[in-house]
Amino acid sequence: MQEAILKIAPPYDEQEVASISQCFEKLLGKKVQFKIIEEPSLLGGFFAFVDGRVYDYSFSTQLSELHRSLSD
Amino acid sequence: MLQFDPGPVGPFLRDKLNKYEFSPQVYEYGTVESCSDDIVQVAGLPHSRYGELLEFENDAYGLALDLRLDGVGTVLLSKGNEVSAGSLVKGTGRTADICVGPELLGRVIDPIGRPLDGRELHAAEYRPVENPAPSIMHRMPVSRPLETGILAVDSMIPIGRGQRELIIGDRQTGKTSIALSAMLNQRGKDVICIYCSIGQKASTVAGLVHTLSETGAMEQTVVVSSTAGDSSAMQYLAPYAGCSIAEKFMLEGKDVLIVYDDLSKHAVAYRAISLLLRRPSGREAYPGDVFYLHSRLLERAAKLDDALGGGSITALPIVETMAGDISAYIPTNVISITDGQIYLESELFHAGIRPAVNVGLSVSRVGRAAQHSAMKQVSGSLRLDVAQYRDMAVFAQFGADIDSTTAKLLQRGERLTELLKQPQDQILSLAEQVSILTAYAKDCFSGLTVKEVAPYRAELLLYLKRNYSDIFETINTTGDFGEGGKEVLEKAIAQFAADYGEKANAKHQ
Repeated sequence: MQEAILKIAPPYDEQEVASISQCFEKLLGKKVQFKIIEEPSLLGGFFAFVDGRVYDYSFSTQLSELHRSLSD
Repeated sequence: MLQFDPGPVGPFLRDKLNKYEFSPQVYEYGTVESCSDDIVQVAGLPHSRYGELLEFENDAYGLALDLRLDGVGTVLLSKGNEVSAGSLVKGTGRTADICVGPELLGRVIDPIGRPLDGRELHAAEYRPVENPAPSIMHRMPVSRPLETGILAVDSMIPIGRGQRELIIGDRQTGKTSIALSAMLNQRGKDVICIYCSIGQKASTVAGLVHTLSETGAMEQTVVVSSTAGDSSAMQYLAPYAGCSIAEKFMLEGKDVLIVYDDLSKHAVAYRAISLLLRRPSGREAYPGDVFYLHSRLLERAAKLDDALGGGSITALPIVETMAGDISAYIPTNVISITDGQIYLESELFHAGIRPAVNVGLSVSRVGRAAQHSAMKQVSGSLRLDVAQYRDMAVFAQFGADIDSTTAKLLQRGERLTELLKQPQDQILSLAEQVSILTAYAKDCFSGLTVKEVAPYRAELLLYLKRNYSDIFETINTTGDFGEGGKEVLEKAIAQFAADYGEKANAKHQ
């Protein structure tokens, strides 16, 4: 069992978390137990700290990337 | 009023938005455990590399300098009040790099490439700050001179392109002045200059940039500045960054002169970092690798072979001594790495002998190989003359009876010392230096009092420049007298001496 942190933007439901867990299980080949933190500043999506790595699927990062590409 | 046409902007933005794709970011992370004195201890980041740039929250950057099993010790490149414990750290995957290329000429930048002169900088290329030195097979012997425009240096301690010549001396002995003169002398020539300030006062650097701009030498100069107020990491990076900029020019086949001002402050900055990272300290509390710190930097100065374009980096590192002690740790280290040193003495400086070069302790290990043939012919016994005179002068101070040979030697020496004095703003071309030494060899100055030497020299140069500009031109462009040129120059000098003598006689009567 791998312990991990999941920052997720509200609103969310159990089903979403379960599907995220499933994806990580496939990726890492072991069960992942998430400690869930609600994080409104992400705007949408999630931010997972698993196994020393960050999986950044948040809207806020995407928006700031888009902002950077438009201002370049 | 300024007109703004929004026409093409809309489609451009729409196009960019259409091209957008969702791309999640996956990277290793660490968390800040502690932050004090610009040193940040990070937990995690198991795959970070030595020298990697780490990104903190709030856009602060750090340099990974201490890798452990459970984390990384980093040193902040900016002032450390924006990093808080528990915050996230991201590895960038790249080592520290610096912008390079011709866009930098005439600019003042900091060691991570941010412009400090208030103008925007758009560089096309970047280069890692740390690079391996050129290998043995890619090097050529140093054979071409790099003129500093200082008579005492060019005649007795010649510097070649690709050489590393240390400038060493106490504070306030004119170390930076020699380097500055050498840079000013490259104005209009094919040598690019890079000045690396390490822990200097910002006002000193500003003054230097002002002088360079005023004389027009700034156009071919890059100033990399880390002042005394910058973090130790910035001071540590500055010479390596400057060297990377120089290497880019060298690989394009150009000759580069780089001044590191100064390496003692660089060692002190590195000592601060090492002690704060809890590395074991050695002599004078410097860490064990302080020799390697400077040797790997100075090894990057080289003369490349023709296959690589034949460019060169000439390094003029500066080291400050305390009370003339050149046997301290850092001075001995750098002396042993470089190909010679110019030793400046405060006693000479205060006696009015400027540049205050101590000829006995100064040497150039490349030596005569890197001297123009014209200079070689006239500067033969000069070093010996100066050294003998300084020896003799000490004994003569006791007021003992001296024989006529010694008296003559002293008299000649006094005049030679006077000849070698040179104000900082007066840079002498090769032809001027050669003429002065020819006149000295012909004993033109022995009939003059010491006070008359400087005006005589000025008049002589003016006379020769007016009437023999063709010979001057030949010497300056080819580095040689040309056929029969030496005899013509000697005759001209003899003629001037005779005329001058008559004028002086007429004045007396």
